[in-house]
Amino acid sequence: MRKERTSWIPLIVSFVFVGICSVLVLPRKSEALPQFARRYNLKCTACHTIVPVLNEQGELFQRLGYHLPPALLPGEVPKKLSALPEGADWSLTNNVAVAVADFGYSAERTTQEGTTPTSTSAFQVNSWNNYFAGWLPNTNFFYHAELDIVSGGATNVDLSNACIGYAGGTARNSWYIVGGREHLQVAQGTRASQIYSLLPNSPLLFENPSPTNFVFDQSPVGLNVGYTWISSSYKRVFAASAKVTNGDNPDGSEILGPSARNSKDFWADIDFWYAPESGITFVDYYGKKDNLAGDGVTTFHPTIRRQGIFGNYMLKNKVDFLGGYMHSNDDWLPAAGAPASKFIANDYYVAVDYYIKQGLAVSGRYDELRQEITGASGVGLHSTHDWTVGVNRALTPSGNVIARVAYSYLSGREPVGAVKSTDKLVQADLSFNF
Amino acid sequence: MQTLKLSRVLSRFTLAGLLAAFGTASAYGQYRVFTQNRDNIKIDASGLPTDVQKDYQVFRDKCNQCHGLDTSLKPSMSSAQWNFEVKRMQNMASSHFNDAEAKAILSFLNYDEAHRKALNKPAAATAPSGIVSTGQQFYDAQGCEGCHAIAGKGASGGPDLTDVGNRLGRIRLMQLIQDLRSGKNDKMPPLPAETTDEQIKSLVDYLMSLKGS
Repeated sequence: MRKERTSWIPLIVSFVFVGICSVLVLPRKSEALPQFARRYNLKCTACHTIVPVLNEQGELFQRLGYHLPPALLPGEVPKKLSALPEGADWSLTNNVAVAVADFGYSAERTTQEGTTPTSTSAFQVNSWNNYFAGWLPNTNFFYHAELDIVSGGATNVDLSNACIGYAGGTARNSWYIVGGREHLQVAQGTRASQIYSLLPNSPLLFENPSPTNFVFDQSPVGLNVGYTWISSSYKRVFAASAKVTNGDNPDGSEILGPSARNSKDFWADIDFWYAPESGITFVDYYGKKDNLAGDGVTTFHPTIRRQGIFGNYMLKNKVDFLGGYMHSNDDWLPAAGAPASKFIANDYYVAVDYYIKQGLAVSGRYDELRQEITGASGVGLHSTHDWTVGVNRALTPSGNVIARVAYSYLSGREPVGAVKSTDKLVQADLSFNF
Repeated sequence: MQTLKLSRVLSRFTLAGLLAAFGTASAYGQYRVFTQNRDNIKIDASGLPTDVQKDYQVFRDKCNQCHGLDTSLKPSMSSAQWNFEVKRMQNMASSHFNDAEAKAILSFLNYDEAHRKALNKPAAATAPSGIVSTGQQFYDAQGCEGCHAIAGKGASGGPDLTDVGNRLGRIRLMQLIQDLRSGKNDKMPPLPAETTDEQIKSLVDYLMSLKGS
């Protein structure tokens, strides 16, 4: 008896250690909203392949103003969105998620020409986000607020989503309008165009290390409108959205101080789901935002442009082939008084997710960035390559606790100074969604 | 600059609205547990005939992707009702099962209905709860608790009926249930066409008696 009790101690100590200290360094963005699962008494996997990757139902759930996409039988008269079942009665717990957290461990070795190689490792809380999202009972209004306590491993309280929307039309032909602060590129478009993937980091082309520091992972304030058409049995879906926003610097940080210039963004996507869980998306972004020139002192106001095409094909609901291409064309100023030039990039990624069974998947991705600065200050065309492999495992039947391990190797030269660097990164993390 | 100020004002206004809604929610919110991963009914597939085992496998793999198996193993429905449900599920987004798999799922549900559920029904009818009203028996027989809860018993897929007698009038309830029989209301599984007016009346009587705690 005594012996048995003693044998539990190392296990408990290990569990507590892993639970408290566990996982990692990556700026993972938790974006699962477990209150929706509570509202409809469904598992997380009703809307996600594995959290946080949305399946077709999850994508459409958002486009229908947080209404569960209904059965669409051939010949059936489509119902108005206001007539769709709203799940359980409105309650606080099916509108709030208070613990969407990610703990992680990472070990990284970085080399860069002209500097001493560095090795780091860390246990940390990667992210802790709180959500308040749902619908106003018996109306077509919906809302979404996200309060981030920890992001990218650092405590930084930020209201990254705070918007109210209205969805109208029928289950087959619907539209929505959303106003407020909203994430630029979350759940917009088909799966390959999402900044979320089964791997810890977004495809590199979304985290494009361009001289203008522009990233898609930002939450400006503005208006978003969209239209969705769905055929019988969800065999074909067409969707389009457009946003006009303002208020964020190119790197996604909020413009807090007085500014003589605004920071406009225009963003649009056209999406087509042509087979179960498979689709293509075209994305266009145009922005004008204050930026520092290459001398690190002078401020200029460049135009930033992105055009991308993304697609995925899910084979037998088991193997998902994904790919994306993004063209970048930004104004660039090397230094005060220097002739203006351009930053041009043609970036792409290809990836495969193999779902061995429900809640278990192995993934691999290859990213390549091909970037150059034009004009006299240019140092030629340079490339960056990144290989990433990873495994995801859901630890609960509902799919709300996920463990993941990933390894990535990045190497290449950046386009401004052509400095070569490499980065090897091992990441393990555990995410909780309650 | 003016645009930025406007953005900030809009952002704060939205936040204030959301906080106000959150406060109201706190006042009226009810605690609801995370039940999506709790399947209380266990099926020992090894005891099933070989062909039913295969059907059960399909049922488990496909249905369990979105919801707990209790959602289907708990309620009792007629073959026509199960056919209706499976057909609707097949036409949902991300359901991903073909006609052959739909047939296998339906086959298992009908087998389960005729065997395990049939064995459990007499026990439910003679449950030691004392007097069970005709309306309540009809409610149980139709498997309403597969979607609705009364005093914490049942699922939360549909509205809670604990105080439905306070929230809806008799005429509204009668209309709603008659529409289920005639097939006009397809938000919920239909009632059998042979449901009598007396059965509907007794069900409405029972629902009207639910006034909450």
